[in-house]
Amino acid sequence: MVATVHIEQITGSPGSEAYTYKDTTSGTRYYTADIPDKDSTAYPIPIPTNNNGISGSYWVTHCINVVSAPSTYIKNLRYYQTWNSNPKDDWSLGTGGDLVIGISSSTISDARIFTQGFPSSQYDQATGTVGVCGDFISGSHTYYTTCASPLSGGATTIADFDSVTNAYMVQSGQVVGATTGRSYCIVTQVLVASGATQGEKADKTATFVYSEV
Amino acid sequence: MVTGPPLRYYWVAFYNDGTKLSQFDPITFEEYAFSDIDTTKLIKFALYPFTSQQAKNVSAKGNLAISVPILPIIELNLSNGRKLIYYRDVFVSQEEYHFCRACNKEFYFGSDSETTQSKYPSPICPYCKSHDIYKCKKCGKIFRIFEDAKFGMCSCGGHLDRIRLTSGQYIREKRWIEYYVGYKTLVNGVNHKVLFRINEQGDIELI
Repeated sequence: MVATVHIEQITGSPGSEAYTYKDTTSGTRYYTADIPDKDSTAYPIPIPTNNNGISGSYWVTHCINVVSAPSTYIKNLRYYQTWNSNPKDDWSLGTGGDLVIGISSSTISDARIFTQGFPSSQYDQATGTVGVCGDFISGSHTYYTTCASPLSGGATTIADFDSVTNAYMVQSGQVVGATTGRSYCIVTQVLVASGATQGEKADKTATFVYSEV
Repeated sequence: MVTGPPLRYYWVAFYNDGTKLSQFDPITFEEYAFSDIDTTKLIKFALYPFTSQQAKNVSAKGNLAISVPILPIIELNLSNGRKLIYYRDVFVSQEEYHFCRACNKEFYFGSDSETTQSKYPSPICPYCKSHDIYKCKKCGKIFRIFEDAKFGMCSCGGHLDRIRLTSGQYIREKRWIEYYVGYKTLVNGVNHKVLFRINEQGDIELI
């Protein structure tokens, strides 16, 4: 059969984490809290008042869930986002602001070829101070901080993965055979710097791609 | 429940003994797996668009399929030791859409969409060219963009109200398939790969 696949967001404590199906009308929003809501106005990310400050959202974890099996396999799960120029400018995030993604390789070119995601058994709940700031992926996310020599300490701009030909390799090789199951996970995080403009930002497009037979 | 995007092509494997295996059994419309193909006997591999009856029967068995009869037929000769490559890339995209309150049409907002050149940009509707405007709360004067009002205020001293004509946004999920078919072959001890990409409109590209 042709596989049926859902995008899911993962929140909560490891071991009792919640998988929220991001359905056809439900996107993802970044907060200073570990919640999967699509459109809450609670927990905004404060703009730092000091010149060198950066406030992070809580990081957000996504995976795909293969809920009906492919006839043979699904492999090479990739991810990219579409921006007019880049997150810093499109969302006016201030100098040093960005939208970043966890990376385990030491170069961007490797991140397009080798697995950058992590198995759900190594899911790490987003932490920080609720309503104030999230901890940074680089420095706090257990998986990316334990990788050998990850680029920029474990997180890099999503702007490097802006099309299917430049996609981020979530999971290289087989994701599932002729069976159901979840893929490796990715984490992303918004960084807001001084000089950012306040307000709700425009929605942007995120795409998962996988090969199936 | 959301299913995958509908299939527009099905494969048929042709063997050197004159027999063939179709992805969907022509009588029962049950599906064969790609791994069921006997590659030792394979001499040709083809992708065919569904007829409307085939699409109906395949869909009834749980595999969503649609008929687009104008799609080109893809046939690949696999003689001379060529080894088949075939897979589908499936895209699941959560995309940004906007609704224009001036012409009541929705539009996709992508990397090549137009916005106003302003500190507070807003999308320009591709149908009626409307975008958010600013209106003086005191005298009602309209400003095209925020910067048209000096110091962000009307000359009458009134503050501005943003009239959101196109910045209302929401997410829609879009799914689509690209088909890849080709072969690997050994020439003078060196592996060569030929691969074609076929999109849902039937455009074929050698990659």
